[in-house]
Amino acid sequence: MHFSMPRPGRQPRALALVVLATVLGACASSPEPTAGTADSLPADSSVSTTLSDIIVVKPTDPTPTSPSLPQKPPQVAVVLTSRTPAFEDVATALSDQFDDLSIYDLGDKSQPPINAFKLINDSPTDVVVAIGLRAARSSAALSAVPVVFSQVFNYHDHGLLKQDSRGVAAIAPMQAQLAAWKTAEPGLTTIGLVVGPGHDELLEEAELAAVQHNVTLLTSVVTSDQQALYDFKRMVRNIDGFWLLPDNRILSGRALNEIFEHSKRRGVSVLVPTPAMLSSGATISVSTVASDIAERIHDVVQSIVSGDSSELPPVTPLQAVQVEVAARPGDNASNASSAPRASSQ
Amino acid sequence: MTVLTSAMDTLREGVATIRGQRSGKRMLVHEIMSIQILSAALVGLLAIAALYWGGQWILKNNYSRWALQWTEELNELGSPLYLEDDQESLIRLERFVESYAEIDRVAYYDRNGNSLFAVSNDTNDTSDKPLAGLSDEQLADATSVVGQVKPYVLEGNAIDPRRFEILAPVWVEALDQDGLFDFDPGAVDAATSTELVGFVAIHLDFILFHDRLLANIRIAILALLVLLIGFALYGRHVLQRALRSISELEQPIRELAKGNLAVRFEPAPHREISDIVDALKTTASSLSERNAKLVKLANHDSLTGLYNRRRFIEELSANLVDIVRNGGNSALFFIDLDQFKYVNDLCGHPAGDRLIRKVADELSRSVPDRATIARFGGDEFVVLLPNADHAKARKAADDITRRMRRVAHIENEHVFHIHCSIGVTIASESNIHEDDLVAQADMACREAKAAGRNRVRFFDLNESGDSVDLEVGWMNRLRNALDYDTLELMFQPINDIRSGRTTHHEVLIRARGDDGSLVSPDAFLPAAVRFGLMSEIDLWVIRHSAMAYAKHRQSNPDLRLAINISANAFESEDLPSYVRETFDEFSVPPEHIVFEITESLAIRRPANVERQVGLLREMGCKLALDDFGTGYSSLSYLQKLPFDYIKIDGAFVVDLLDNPVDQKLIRLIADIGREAGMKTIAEYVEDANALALLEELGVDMVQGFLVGRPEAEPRIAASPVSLGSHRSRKQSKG
Repeated sequence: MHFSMPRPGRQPRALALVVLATVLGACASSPEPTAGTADSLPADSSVSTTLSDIIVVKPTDPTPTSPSLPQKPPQVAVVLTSRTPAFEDVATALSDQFDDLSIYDLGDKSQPPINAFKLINDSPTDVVVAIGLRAARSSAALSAVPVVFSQVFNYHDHGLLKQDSRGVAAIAPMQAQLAAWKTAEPGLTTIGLVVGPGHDELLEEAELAAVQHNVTLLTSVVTSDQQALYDFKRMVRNIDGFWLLPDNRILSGRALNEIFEHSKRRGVSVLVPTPAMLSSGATISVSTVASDIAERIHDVVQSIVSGDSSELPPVTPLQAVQVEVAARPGDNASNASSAPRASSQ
Repeated sequence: MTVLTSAMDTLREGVATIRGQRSGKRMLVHEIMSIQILSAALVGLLAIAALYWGGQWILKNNYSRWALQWTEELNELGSPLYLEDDQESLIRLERFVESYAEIDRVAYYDRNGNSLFAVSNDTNDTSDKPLAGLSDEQLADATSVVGQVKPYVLEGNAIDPRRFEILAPVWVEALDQDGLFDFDPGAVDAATSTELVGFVAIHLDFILFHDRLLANIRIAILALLVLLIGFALYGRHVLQRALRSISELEQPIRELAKGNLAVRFEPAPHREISDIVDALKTTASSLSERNAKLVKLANHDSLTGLYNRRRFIEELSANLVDIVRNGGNSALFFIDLDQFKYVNDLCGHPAGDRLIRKVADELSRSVPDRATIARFGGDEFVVLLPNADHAKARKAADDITRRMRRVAHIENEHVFHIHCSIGVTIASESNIHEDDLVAQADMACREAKAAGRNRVRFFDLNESGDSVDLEVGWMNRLRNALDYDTLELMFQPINDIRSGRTTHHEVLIRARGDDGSLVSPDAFLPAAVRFGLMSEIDLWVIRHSAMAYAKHRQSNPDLRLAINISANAFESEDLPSYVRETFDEFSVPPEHIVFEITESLAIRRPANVERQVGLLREMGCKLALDDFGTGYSSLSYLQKLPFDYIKIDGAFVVDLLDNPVDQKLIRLIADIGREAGMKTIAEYVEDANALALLEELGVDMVQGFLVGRPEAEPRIAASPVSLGSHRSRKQSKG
């Protein structure tokens, strides 16, 4: 259950073939994105061979870390909900950020989670980094030290935001997502978005992004997959893009199938948060980048350790996105590799 | 002729049968129409049934499909109402229900089965009473189908599929908490949790739709029936038109059956009927040809092509009728060739036939065109010369004799000059009986022959009236005797000369004279031959001999009979058939019958006689050569002829004791017969000395008064045996 990640050194990992660009405020000042080539595609990223482009944007100006005096490196315990790639990639990226790192896997059925937290609490751990909802909930309940959670979308529902706990966003910034989408689909005019309750800030962020990109945004807050489908079917006649957020409460297999089916029938582009959905019928995925998440966690941890946590937002937004566009019928590899389809602001 | 008559009779019977049965028979048109209409009706009924049941099935299927679709939509439409007071959704739901008249009512229930609200299309349903909740059973049933392929419970009436109710659960699903961070399209269902939130009940009423569809089906059925009737009427018209050509054949066939071979068959438009018409034409043509052939055979002599006796008599009768009506005279010539028998015996019957043909040709050229010529048989010809008195007849007869004298017939380096004797009689209003006229001419001819041949003799009614009357009288008596079956048979035994035992009996015919006494055949057979009754008499004798055999074989199992048949019996080709049928009828074994034919007939051996004799032998009958020695045949012929017995003519036996030539001749005949495997029979044996001498000469059997006189029944008669024979028997016994 507890293992230490081998330290591969400080070399950048898995990003050698991506292009970096400025996000957030820097996005506007550095509008020249560089498209990745076909060679830059990770081997497993060619989801059902429809993947055409990957764009990774990264601030040219690193966010200034908190002013600090020389201090000892923080001792960090990483708790994983399970060793799924989405979580393990982040843990791996974290090993690049921290020298003293211990990783605990709650998916290991051989031992109860409480044992892991006994070990953590008995150790001189400074911060617990929880990856995934289960890990976050367990950490919030059992950890004696501050918790930084990540890869949790509905963090409001589970009381994760305590005084000494912070989070890192589970999805890419809404503005960056829309920017990438608008780049891939320049004709996009009206976008629909259905989300569960408790995401008012996210909706505001989305509406702001829509205004900035001159796109009409239709939103709906629902409580079930039936209701999501119902609203989607009503709005699908009036939209040319549907923004699918990773809200598990209002999504189900049947709902996803119908959303993709109706969208395909009506020619509606669907943006999804994970490339795995491209094979199901989505047209573009804008996902997070593990190294970006790790860096944001590192920053938060540093702030907490240095006692500046009061300055931190409850959830720190990410700064990089990974874009993949499903190839349209007739596209081929050469076209995909030579035609950049996204740009940053 | 017989074949043609038979064919015509068959045709007539067919037409008669058709006529007789026509009224009771079904008409072909009606039968085909019945089959057609029944088939069409059956197909129509099946189509209607298929239409009705197919429509029902489609309806039910559609009801189910629509119900499922509506259930899904209502399920979705109603789901927001469980969770919030969404007026817009409610309005949308009401609009949806209103848009489908078949949806009678939609009711929603919470997860415990308590009613939430309902939307109804029924304007009469104005009660504000709260809806009843779902029963536990309904809850259980509806809950059990959550997540199934058919997530609803159908409650309907099996008899009336137009009304049913659907109860469907309403549930929500959600992905697991972290499902979207590790999204796997193939395992998305496994990472889903389900929560039941309520139920929707839909009451469907398809009566309006159903009735509308049934009305359409009824219209379709009506249209189908109209089509069926139209089809039947059209089919009847087409069939009648198609079968008209068959009906039109009826009259020509009827005419054909009547014997009108010139009947005309109209060409038929259809190939099948046309084939029948062609066949009928061919039949009529064949019948016509056969008719002509048979008429020719019936009326003409096969050797010369001249008319035969029957046709000549017809012509004569017609001429006599004309004489009766218009007066006038006709001459009848009876012509007999002189020494024809000599040519025949010397050069064989083919030579005789050639001579006959040559004479016929010469005769045809000798008489005027208006004359009718016929061959009466053998070397006898008759000519009828109409409108001829005595002088014209004399001139014509002289012309004939003169031309005939010029005829030279060459056979095998022999040159024969054939002369003829001609008897002439004149038919007039006072002499108009054809039989009398033929007899008169025949008698005159015989007189011409008796007077030295090669001459013409006119019949003189004053001189020969009695003879003619006698012959004509015999002709009438024989005719009556045949018609009334009054001829009689006598049986004279023939005994083995050595044993003295009777081997068989010769059947002899007798007729009753005017005084009732029995008359021997010598008195009436010439008349029978002359008037064409001989072959009929032969058949009579064969049949009555068979009857006598059947009658007497019980008392005499070894009975064997010898039957005389004349050359006339062979004129018909079916003598062997007649013999076989007669013998079969009376169970006469053919090997117990001996047929006696005269030497002259046997020696001439006409082809038809030889063939029929062969058939009789094949049948098992024995053959005897009668009156041997009176002809002119060579003794060497005996070895060639297929006979079992040789009957030596009585002329050689009568003076046997005093005539050494006769003795030598009889010995010679007996020797040759023995060598040829034939037994010899001596006739007219009247004393014991002759009997002894005949035995000594080698004769095998004897017949005559010494052995036994002709009697009414075939009795066994023992004849005396010679001493030598007696001794031989004793020695053999010792």
